[in-house]
Amino acid sequence: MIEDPPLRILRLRLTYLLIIVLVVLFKTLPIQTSPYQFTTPDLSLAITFAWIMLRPAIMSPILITIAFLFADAILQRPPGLWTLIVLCASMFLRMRALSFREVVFFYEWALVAIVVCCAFIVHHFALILAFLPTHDLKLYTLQAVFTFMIYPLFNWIFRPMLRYALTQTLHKSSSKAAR
Amino acid sequence: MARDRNTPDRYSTSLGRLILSALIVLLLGLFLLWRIDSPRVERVRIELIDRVVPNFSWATSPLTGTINILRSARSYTRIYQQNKDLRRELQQMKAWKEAALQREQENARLLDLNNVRLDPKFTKITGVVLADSGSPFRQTVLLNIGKRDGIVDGWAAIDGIGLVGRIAGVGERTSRVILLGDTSSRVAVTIESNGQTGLVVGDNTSQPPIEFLENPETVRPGDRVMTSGDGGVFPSGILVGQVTQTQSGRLRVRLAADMLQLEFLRVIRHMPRETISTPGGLVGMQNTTELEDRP
Repeated sequence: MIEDPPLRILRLRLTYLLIIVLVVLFKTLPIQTSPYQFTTPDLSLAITFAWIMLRPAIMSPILITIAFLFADAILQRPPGLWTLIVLCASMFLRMRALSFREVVFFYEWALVAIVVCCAFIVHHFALILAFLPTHDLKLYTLQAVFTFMIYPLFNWIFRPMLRYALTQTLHKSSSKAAR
Repeated sequence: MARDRNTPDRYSTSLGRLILSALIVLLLGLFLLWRIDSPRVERVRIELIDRVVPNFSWATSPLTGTINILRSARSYTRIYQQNKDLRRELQQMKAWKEAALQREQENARLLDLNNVRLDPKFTKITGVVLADSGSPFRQTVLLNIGKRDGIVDGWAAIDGIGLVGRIAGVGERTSRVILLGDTSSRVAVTIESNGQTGLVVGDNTSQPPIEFLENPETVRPGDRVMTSGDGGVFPSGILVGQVTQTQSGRLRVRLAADMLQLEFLRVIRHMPRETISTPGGLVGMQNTTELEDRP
């Protein structure tokens, strides 16, 4: 693995936390207080998955847990459940992130889409199992679809920021190997 | 790169696996704890929100304002038509105002005749909406008034015209209002025209259905729906809305409150009624007991 300097790792992790906090607080702005007829994608999930596929090394389980527990608390969700599902999904993606680096982007996207759908389905059944009120299925399905549809956007946005250091160090290590 | 794939990162080591499994157990435990002992965890949650959200109010109010301006910018294009409509409506409103003034005078006279005294405890605290639930599946808002303003769980929140919801969760500086449309909202109501009682059950729509009515056939669309105060937690006589009927024949409430733009909410300070616990004694009983006490 390409080792980042510890300071940069810390900086990237703090950036990630800041982004999630901003996304969550933006969602709680009192703009729409009537029931939604439409839904928005789960931005924090898409951002997390984009970061994991781009830079698996910095996305530690503790970081994801902190970010999503905060979101759970603020967004009035059952605390821990969605965090647990996202954590498992992210660790699954993280194991495969490096091997998807060289293949066509479409395969990576398909993998993320499948994982997003699985996470939403597991969450739905977990709610049923725990006798909690479930979500409106139409809106919920739409949210899952929007979430993986928006994934390439975040992948594209964060790619320069997260990939830059990687190519630099790759170049360094390859030149070292040549020597 | 070949080496990379064999050892993807240091979290595939035993320490990493330990941390991951510990986190999973922790999260599962937290969820189960919440499911079993919800109030305690909810108190922690409201404490956290109380710490975090008010600190961001410097950012939220300008942002919300800007977004609302942008949204209304769309309507500026139709401003001429709107102006004409408004002027026509204003004419109608003037007529209504005249009628209302006459009614008010009449009402004041009647109250005076009856020597009615309004309950001084029936006062209001006004708060600003800080944040909403941020999710399409929950209908709650956060107010900037809390325990230090004397807010108590269960009080009613109105927007000046009609009922909006009920306080559920009070922090030191903030309190959460469950709106009538939330799936966990249940409010006991009475239909004004015939005094039937029922429940307004939130189902994530803007017009929640009325359930548990004894005779739904006798209820007409347009009847006014008020809170009944059954159970003693909620004040009675607050306007909720009007009955409407869907095409499938289901009775729903068109809420009187404007749920599209909740900005200021009034929380009604409500003390539970004193309950009568002892049966009434016989008149003159006091004298006999006094006699018995004296030897």
